[in-house]
Amino acid sequence: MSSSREARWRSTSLRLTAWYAVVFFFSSVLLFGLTFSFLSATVREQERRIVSGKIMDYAAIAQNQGLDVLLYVIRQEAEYEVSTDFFLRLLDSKGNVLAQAAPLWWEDVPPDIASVNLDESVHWFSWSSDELESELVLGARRIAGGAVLLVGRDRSDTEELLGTFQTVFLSIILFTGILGVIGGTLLARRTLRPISDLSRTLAAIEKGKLDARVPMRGGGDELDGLVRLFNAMLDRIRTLVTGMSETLDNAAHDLRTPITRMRMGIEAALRERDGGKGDREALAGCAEECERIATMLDTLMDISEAETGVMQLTLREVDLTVLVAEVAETYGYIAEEKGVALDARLPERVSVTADAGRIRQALANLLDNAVKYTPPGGNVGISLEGFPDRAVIRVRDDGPGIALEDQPRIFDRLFRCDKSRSVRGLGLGLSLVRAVLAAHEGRVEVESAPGRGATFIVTLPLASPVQLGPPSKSRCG
Amino acid sequence: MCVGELRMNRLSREVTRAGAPIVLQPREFALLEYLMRHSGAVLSKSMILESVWDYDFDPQTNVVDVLICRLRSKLDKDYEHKMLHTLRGVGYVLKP
Repeated sequence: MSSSREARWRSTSLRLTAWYAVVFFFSSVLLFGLTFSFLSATVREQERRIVSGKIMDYAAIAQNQGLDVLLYVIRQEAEYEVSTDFFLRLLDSKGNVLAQAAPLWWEDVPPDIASVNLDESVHWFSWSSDELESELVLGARRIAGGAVLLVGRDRSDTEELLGTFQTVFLSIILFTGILGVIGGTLLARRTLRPISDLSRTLAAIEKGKLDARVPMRGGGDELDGLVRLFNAMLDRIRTLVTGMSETLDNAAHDLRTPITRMRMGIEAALRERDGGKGDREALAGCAEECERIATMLDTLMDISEAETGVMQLTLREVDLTVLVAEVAETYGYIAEEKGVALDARLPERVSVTADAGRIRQALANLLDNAVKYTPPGGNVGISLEGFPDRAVIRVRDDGPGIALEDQPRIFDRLFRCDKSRSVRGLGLGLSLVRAVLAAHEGRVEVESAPGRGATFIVTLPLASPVQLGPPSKSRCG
Repeated sequence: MCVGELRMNRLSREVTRAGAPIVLQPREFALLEYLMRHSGAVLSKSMILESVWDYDFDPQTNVVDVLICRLRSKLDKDYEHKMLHTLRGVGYVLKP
């Protein structure tokens, strides 16, 4: 699976590179093509300007000094081979060649090449022979006396120049093509690096390495934002997965104990022959253990409900003073049995809008813990304070306290400090407290120093005493 | 209200067994009242929790056990005939 992901990434990278290179290449081809065509047009224009300049010169001679002078000039030129760059031909009005001055290799230019109806503007022709690679550009016009003047020029220089340009341009284009591929590769790699990091991290996680994180580049761009979100999500998932596997481990462990006890009881009863009293004893034991398991499962479900926000709260006006007093009274008996003094400090009346049963359950759990962890002769205290916007309940004990490193985790499901493993309990109490408080939009915190007891502080948002409308419906679900 | 030797006056909140007064705290009184009203019936822990404490959950430390224990020591300690019985795994019963 990871290899196919790798391949997909590679092909994305390839595609990105190809796109970049193609766009880069074609832009440069277009640019150089335009430049080249502009350049060749200019050069050809220049060529024709030279030819037509020559034609003008000779036409002026014919105009001013007569056709004979021109004839003479051309013949002179032919005789002394003055020009090897130009082709000159003078024809009479019927198309017969009167004079011609041209290098040998152009003598084959057919006489009728300019046989169309010519006037006094320059008409253009071109001629090339099979033997010669060079091309001849020819300008023709009618001059004074109805004669036709043909002037040609070798284009090989121009072609050579343009050829050079073409070579240069082509090599530049080739070079930009290579640059495009390199640039595209770099760009693709740079753009896709966070993504490849991401997929590498995912592959590592798939192999069970939950600690793997995508490295941050610190650019602060969109991809960095994505990486940040992704890492945050991984953190959350890791917390959840770790929590879940710990919960499962602990739940399995805690369920095993009562089940083992049940089995031992049943086995003992089966071994006995009398079949009377032993059976009943075993059944009673089973019932007790079942109850314990049921309690544990109930609590687990309560916590899940509260944590996922599906806990149904029956909200109504609750007098916290009465509620705290009741819970304190109940645990007063238990504290007394253990030789622990329970002291409750309560104000006149503090009312909140809450689910009385759930709050009672949370406080019972806190007091239960406090009494459980306080040695005989110690003190447990519960106090309630009303503030304009909240009610604060403090449950204080004389127990061993909670190690600093354990404090953030005590509200986790089934977490028990190593020291407290020996004390019977499900390790669900505090997480239920937190879940119930969270469902009420309140919170619970702990203040503790090892060896100096612990204080749990419960904060509940206060119901406004003036605003006593109909009881609000459940906020959850 | 009478169950065997046990008498309860719910108005004056006085309890006597064979004429001897028994001093009970409010929650003990409530528990005994519930047991007496259903004397002879086996009452489960959760039934007691619900009617005496109005709890619909099971506290971790067994408050019912603790209170039954206290009640039993006040009720039965000085007598040969025991009235308050525990049925393991099932619940509690008050017999005349």
